[in-house]
Amino acid sequence: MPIRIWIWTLLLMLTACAGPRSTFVLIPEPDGSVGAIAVSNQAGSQTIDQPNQATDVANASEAPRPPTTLSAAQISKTWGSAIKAAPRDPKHFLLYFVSGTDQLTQESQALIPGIFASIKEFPAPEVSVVGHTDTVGSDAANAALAMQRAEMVRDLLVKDGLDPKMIEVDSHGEKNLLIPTPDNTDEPRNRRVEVTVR
Amino acid sequence: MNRLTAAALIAIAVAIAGFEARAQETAVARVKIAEGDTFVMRGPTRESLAVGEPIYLSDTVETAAGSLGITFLDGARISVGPNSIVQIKDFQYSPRDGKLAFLVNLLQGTMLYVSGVIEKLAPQSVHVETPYATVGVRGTRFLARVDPE
Repeated sequence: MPIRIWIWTLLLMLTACAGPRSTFVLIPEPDGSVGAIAVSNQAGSQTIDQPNQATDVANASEAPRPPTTLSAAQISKTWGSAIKAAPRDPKHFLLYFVSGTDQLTQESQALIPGIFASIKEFPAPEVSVVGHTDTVGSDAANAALAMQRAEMVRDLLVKDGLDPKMIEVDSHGEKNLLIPTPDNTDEPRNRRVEVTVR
Repeated sequence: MNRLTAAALIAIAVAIAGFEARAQETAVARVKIAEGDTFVMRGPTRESLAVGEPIYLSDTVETAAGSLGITFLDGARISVGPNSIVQIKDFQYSPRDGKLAFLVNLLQGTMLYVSGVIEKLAPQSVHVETPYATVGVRGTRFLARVDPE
């Protein structure tokens, strides 16, 4: 009898040690806030909305398991390498024009040196220059106006010495509002060009 | 010219056109960090990856003893630890046309995902697939670990 008990114990230990084939962990933003993730397969779904909470999924036919909380040590042990390889957070600059002119405001002009300084902090840097409008006017007119404004900023940056090969220019028209508003709403803060260094 | 020769010439012309089209395709991401053994599978070829190299739709990035970090056009980032494989399955970043999508498949390994503008504008259009479950994201970052099937 003792031998059978040992064999059963060993089998139980082996199945217990098999471990879930996947794990998903929600981690906080640098400012401490969290969003949420929903992990689903054909057997079920689990939403995680607390920092450092994780769900294990053993395989495709077992529902994601209820959340557990992982320690900093556990997270570092499994994901230390992936975390260390995370590229820098992109840096955003909001530029505004003096109303009805082609001139940047003084505050916006003052941001330009910061753009150049920021580029030096990124390996293989890229700069996106994206024009935006508020919701006054048609989609098409705003798409064009935003592109015009973005191109002006691009030309300014190139004149100041930025390598044009590093830059991509685009327009989001009225489709990417900084301040959510209804249609046809005057909102100067939405009328911007966003320069992003990544 | 017999039919076989004509067919061969057409096949060559199509292959060249395809290659040209690929060369003009826009990169969807760029390598920002590459340590140790890092590769990209692009069609039938497998190439080493270095910092600054572009990543295209349908590329599969792989690491052996190494780690890799890439940043997408919209500012989203993924980074992987050793022995990891990620397919870049869909990436559309055109808010003006309402075209927004982000889909990668983590086949194995460890990965960090950090959301970008696509996720801010259309969270329902962002997914990370794995062999065992799919992850939907709401304005956030998360870690995933997948053992191979």
